[in-house]
Amino acid sequence: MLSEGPWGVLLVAVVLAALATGADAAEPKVELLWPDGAPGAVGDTDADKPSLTIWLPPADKATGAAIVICPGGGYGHLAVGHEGKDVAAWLNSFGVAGFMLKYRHAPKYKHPSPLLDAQRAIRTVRARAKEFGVDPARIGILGFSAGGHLTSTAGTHFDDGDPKAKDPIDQVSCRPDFMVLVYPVISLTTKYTHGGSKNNLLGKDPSKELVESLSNEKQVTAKTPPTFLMATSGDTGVPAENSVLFYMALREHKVKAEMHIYQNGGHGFGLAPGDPVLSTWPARCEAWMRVNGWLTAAK
Amino acid sequence: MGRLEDFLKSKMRGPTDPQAPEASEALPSAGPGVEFLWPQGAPGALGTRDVDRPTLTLCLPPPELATGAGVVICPGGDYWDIAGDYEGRDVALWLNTLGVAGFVLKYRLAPSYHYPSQLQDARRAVRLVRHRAAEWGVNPARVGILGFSGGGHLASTIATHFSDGVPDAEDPVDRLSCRPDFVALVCPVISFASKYTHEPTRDNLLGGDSTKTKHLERLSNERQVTPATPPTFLVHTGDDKEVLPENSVLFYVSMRRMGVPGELHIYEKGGHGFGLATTDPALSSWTLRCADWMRRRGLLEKPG
Repeated sequence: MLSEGPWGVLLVAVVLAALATGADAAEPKVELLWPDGAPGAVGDTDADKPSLTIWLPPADKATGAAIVICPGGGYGHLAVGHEGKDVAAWLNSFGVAGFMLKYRHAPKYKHPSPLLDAQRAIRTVRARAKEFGVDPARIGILGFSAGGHLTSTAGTHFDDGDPKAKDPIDQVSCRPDFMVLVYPVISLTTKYTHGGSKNNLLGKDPSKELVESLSNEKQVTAKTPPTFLMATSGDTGVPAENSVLFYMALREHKVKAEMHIYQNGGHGFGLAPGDPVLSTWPARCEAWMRVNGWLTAAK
Repeated sequence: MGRLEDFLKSKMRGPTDPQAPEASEALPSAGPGVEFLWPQGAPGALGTRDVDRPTLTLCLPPPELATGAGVVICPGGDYWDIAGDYEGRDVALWLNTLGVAGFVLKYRLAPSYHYPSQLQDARRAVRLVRHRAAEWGVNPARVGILGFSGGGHLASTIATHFSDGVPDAEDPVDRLSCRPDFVALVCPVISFASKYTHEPTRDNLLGGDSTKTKHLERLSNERQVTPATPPTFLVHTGDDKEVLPENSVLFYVSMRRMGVPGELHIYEKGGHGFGLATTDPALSSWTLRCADWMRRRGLLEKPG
């Protein structure tokens, strides 16, 4: 176990984040979700300290909308580049603040740590909305692959906050106002599940009840936030049925939604910058946000 | 009175109703560019009026743009009417910009005609385009079909109920296959047997007490997909109150099960019967997605 003090670890985190963003981008701010240690933390390294890396849009472009970004990585690592930083840059380009969530994952952490981290991330952005220039009623969450599972978990497992909590962050709701799911893992109980993500999240012999409770197509209610889904028919790792099952559940509960399933394209392509067809999905997502009024600056 | 009755009342106009369509203005009943599917009269025709004579209206791209792809277009209208302009002519003109030939199908309609007249018309249309491919600058291996709403039911029906030609048929048109090489379905009616069906379309096609007919299952096309079903592009909207988007989802799920390649786009807003949706900044992108899909499938590659 590393015995560095908190400042040393924070410095390492900041330097790593700066390296990851490259020299051209402004250095993002990194904030630990729990400066005094995350609940259930088993150590004091980077892997034990979930954080938000924050990219705010230029003030003249800011719409007030914000999105917590959950990179994928099968609940075993985090694709912080093409499913993190690049996504924040895209969001910033149309005035949306990007908060990349580094959530805890295997091998050190299983459920519920990633969910606690995602919930805390939304609460943090909401509780500190003013400071970030964000409208607390327009905070979305977006996730890729296993990060899409985490996102859909946050969208189906939320609470209003505890008004009596000591920590002001814990007093606010962790319900996302909208969700974006990109080639997401959704189901843990059907043949369409992604075994690797499931094992990393739940370990070898999870109870049937636990698996069911996180098979998110079965957890949709009328309160589940509006959702944008994107997948490809060519994805052999996480079949498009995950998205279809979730969409059908949203329909059943009359939750507004949009779904684009492209024919070609595999898995893990992020914004798909090299693919002239698939790279149109971010524009579809932006248009969807616009149609729903989330990109209209508060007057 | 239930929803079904409301629908029927609003849709079922008698044949003497002055509003009953004789011919769509966008689809002239005869003249240059209009081809009778059966110049000698359609099988089962009840007369020789315009409505008894299904046609194809040709809309060919400029030769320098032509890719060799051709699409039979089935406008919607609940098998009662034909939206020949915004789901017909306008679509053909859009396809022309991609170098694709458009053939707008005027198929036979209720109350005079029921199943299988409409399917016969669609099959004949695909065969006719193949038969006269050279004349119309079309590659007979790139003949698709595209349908809106009720026309989407017709397009999905031929996609799941095609046949090889009859090799020794007297009419050379009948010797050719009517399997479309690709399919595009826009806010289509697909299901007849599930709760997601669109009752006017179903009842107009089947006539009579359609919930008991033996054809119900057979024409619930999400149940008729096979590995031989052509690659299919689907688009729908989430707020389509007339034809529920589950129709498209069910078809897509069946395609997945059968290994049929395809693409599905469900926009959140846009309602029903939006045609090319040219005035909707979000939904109008469906034509771009459809063009991308055709391009990816190699359908828009120029010959030579």
